Amino acid sequence: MPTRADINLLPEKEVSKEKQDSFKKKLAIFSIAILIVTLVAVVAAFSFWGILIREQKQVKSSISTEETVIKNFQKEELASKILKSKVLSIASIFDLRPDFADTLNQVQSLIPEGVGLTDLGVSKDFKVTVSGNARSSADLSNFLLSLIDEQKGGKIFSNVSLNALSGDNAGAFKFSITMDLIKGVKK
Amino acid sequence: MPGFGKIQSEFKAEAKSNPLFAEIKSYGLPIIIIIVVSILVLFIIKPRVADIFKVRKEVEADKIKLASLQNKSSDLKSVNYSSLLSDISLAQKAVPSDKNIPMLIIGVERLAAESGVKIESIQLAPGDVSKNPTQTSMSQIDFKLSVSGAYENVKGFFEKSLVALRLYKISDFNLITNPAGITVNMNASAFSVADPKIGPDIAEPLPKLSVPERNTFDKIKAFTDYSSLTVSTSSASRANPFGGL
Repeated sequence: MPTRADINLLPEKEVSKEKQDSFKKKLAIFSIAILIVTLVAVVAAFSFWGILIREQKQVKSSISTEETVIKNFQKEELASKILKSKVLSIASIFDLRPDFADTLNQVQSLIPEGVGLTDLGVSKDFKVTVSGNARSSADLSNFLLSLIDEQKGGKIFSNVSLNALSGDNAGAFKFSITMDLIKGVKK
Repeated sequence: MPGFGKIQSEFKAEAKSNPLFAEIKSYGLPIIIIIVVSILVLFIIKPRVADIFKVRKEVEADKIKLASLQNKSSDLKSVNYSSLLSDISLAQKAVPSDKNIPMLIIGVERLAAESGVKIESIQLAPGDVSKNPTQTSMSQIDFKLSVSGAYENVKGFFEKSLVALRLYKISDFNLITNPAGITVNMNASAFSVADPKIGPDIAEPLPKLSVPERNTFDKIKAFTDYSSLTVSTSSASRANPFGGL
């Protein structure tokens, strides 16, 4: 049985035409709305662009002012640059140069009573060559032991090598030792 | 000849009788609007938005530049120029702008004398000794030096060389004992650094000393200037330049 809502007295053609008219009306309103939105977007884009251009002009003008100020301080800027460059060079020289006075002190502290050095050389690659005399084999071995002792010479030198050794009738020895100066103590 | 009113009334009548014509008329406004909107978007909004992005990017870059310029100008305003000049004068003695060979030799001689060692020989090949060298960064002046004296004095020479205001670097040495004492042959270097120039980029930050750099610089304040003797420039006119000295 049809309900009240299903009862439509208008002819079907009229209903369809009404729907079509309503769609057309909505389409017209929608397209006008889009046009308005687009026009607003155009106005907004131009306004924003104008604001940006004005801001850019202001920033450029401030840059120009600051540049003029900086140009008036050229001698201060140059002096700062010179000092920085000199100090950086000084720091790099400090890093470069070894402290050989300290090396001599360290070697001196390792030499026992019965041992005397005749030559001591340190090469550019921190190879140390030591030549000298020892009164006895015991003195020489004391010296060698102190060179390789981790608490004494081992802190300063590595790769200790006895290169030449010759003894005489009196029991004295001539020796030549090479070793590497450890990196941490080079400066 | 028919008037405009007649044509108009005929057109209206045609529109009423022809359903296609009526359809076009009712959809015409949205179609025109779509065309107008498309033209606006393609030829006005899109290029303007691209311009906005471009200008915005430029403004951002300009703002960064302005900030660095403002920092720099504020730093420059706070610079104590006279103190800077005095610091440069000290640094100049440590690493001069030119090789300054005469002062280097005087400095080494005084350093040896102060340490109590005798200079046996000094050899150097400095090359260009002009006041305006073409060097652009740090250059090294190598020299060979041979000194003799007592062990303590030789050690003192090494120690003093590390606290001499004109900076030296002893790269290697060979110490030989002889009946008179000790002779040390060494390869050493002094340094010079050409003065930098102001770069083309005005927004480049003002170079400032960091704390470690300031500490490094403060170290040399305690160093001894062995080159402070002034060299008298006597008139260069000798009757016989090949005669004995």
